[in-house]
Amino acid sequence: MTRPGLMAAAVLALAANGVALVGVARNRAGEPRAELNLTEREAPLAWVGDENSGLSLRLEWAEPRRDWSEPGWFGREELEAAGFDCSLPLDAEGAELRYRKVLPIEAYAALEYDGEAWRTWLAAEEADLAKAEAEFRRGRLDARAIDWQRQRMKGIRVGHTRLFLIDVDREAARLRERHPDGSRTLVAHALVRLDYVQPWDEARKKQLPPFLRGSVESLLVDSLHVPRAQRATLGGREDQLRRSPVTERGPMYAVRVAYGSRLEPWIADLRSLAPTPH
Amino acid sequence: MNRAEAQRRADRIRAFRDELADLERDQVLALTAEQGGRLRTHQDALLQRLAGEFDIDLSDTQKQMSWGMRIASLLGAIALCAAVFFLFFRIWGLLGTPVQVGILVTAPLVALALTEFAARREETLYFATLAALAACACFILDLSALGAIFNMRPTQNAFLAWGAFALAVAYAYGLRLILAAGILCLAGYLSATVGTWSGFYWLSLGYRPENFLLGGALLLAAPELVRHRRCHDFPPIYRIFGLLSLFIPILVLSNWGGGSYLRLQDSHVEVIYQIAGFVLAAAAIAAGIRRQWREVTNTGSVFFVIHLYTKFFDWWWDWMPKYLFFAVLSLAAVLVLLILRRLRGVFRESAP
Repeated sequence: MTRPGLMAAAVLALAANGVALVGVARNRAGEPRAELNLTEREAPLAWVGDENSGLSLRLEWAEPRRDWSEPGWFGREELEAAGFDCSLPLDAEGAELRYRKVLPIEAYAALEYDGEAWRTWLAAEEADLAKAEAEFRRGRLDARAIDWQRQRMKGIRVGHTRLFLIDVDREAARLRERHPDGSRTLVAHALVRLDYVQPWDEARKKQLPPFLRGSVESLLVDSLHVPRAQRATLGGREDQLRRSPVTERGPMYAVRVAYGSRLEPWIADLRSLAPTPH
Repeated sequence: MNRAEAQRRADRIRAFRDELADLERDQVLALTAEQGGRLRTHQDALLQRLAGEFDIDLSDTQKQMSWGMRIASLLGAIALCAAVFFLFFRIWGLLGTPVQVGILVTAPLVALALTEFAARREETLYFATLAALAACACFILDLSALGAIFNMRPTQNAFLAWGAFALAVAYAYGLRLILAAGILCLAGYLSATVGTWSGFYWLSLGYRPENFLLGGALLLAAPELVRHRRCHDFPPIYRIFGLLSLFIPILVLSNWGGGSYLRLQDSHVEVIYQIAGFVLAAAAIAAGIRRQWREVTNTGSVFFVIHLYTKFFDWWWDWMPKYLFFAVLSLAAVLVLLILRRLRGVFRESAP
């Protein structure tokens, strides 16, 4: 190889690979920042095309309930902590234009596994079912509707994710300080968005005062590659697992997910679970 | 001398012979038999030498065949890239992580070696183009698959690496197709980086078309800042992509004011970019004529017409009968033709 351009291309390819692999090694060196024992409920198999022999798990997470007519747990203060500039008062001239033009930013999200957020959410779902049962007994709900709600709740109990978003910040360290338990809470890169909401009061037929509301659009890494060594655990049942949703049968495997110094995850362990009794 | 220069020389000799034949037929100029013989011998020898050294086309038929080969090589290269991607994803699940990494890291290097091998054996570089594009595809696959295997956070820096790699290969062999691929990657990197300056996530680059403007300006300036002594046919590629990076965002913003950074009403933003589009297209046509950059004139003309027709559509499509709308379009085309013909006349008068 005598051409300088060719040598430059070869060196560049090697350097880029070197940078990427050193980054991986640094991420995985030392004690993981978080290590969570999840199940198929929180990490189901991701979809892949027919001609793709790779296998990955998809991190499944949920948000605490909140009413669309209020900011809930993710309001102006949290948006500022996440890195948005919310200093312009909402009633100032041009505020709507300015806030509507804001694009998503990269920040950090804390997700809690099988904690208070999940229990609160589950209790609210149970309360909704109890309310529906009462309506059914009073004859205000038909049998098909209540049956659908019962089936849904059954699915939630055995198969819904217990990984819940609980906090957001622009500093990962600050987030970890607030949620120090690395076996229950993971801190990950997330895409956070700001919405300018102007609710409409249908009863009084008037516009309510506007507010800012935050949400997490996605985790930047929500796919976990399954290395060949760990695939054996699934015993070739991938297609079967994909065909029947986890909410119908309960989780069939447990997965230990570790997060390193660069907050990039990997599968530390994957093992089979006994079928959930229904 | 490179292949493009050799081809130009051969074309000049062919044009000279045709013109000389016409002049002799019209009895304006007649070389003596000895002069004619000497000239023919010299030119034949020169053409044979150029054909031997650079594998150039010596006839129109050969040129047409070359175009066919170029198209076949482009289609083949695209198909080869797809084959590389699909092959890897077909087998990667069967391989352990070290083998996956080994294949990914070595694939672009092997493809580079193939490019060099092909370039040493064939002056026209059709096979080298194919191998070079495969090298770029392997490198793109390399970094993206590494990201997937190790669950890495996506970053725009990958576009910088891909763009620099493609540019290095393009300049090594003088391959315009690879240069275009490299420019696209670099434009993507620059636009994403500009977006992050405003604090936004880099993948939101498409939501603010203005992110592409700086990259477009830099691409336009590149051939002025860096002299291309060896790769004479590269500056037009920079200029075309530079203009596309300016015109396309302006065209989008002239119809979608909500995508702008400007904190103005959408309709005001659209008017600003409509004016900017017309002014820039006219400036491109003028600059192209003045500097004899045919690609700049053509790109400017195309976007001038697109801006014009977009405005016509906005103003008249809903209320005008369709026959009248299309009649107005054709009248506008006639008007553009008349203006361009007048301009052409002016330039013919000023030509030596």
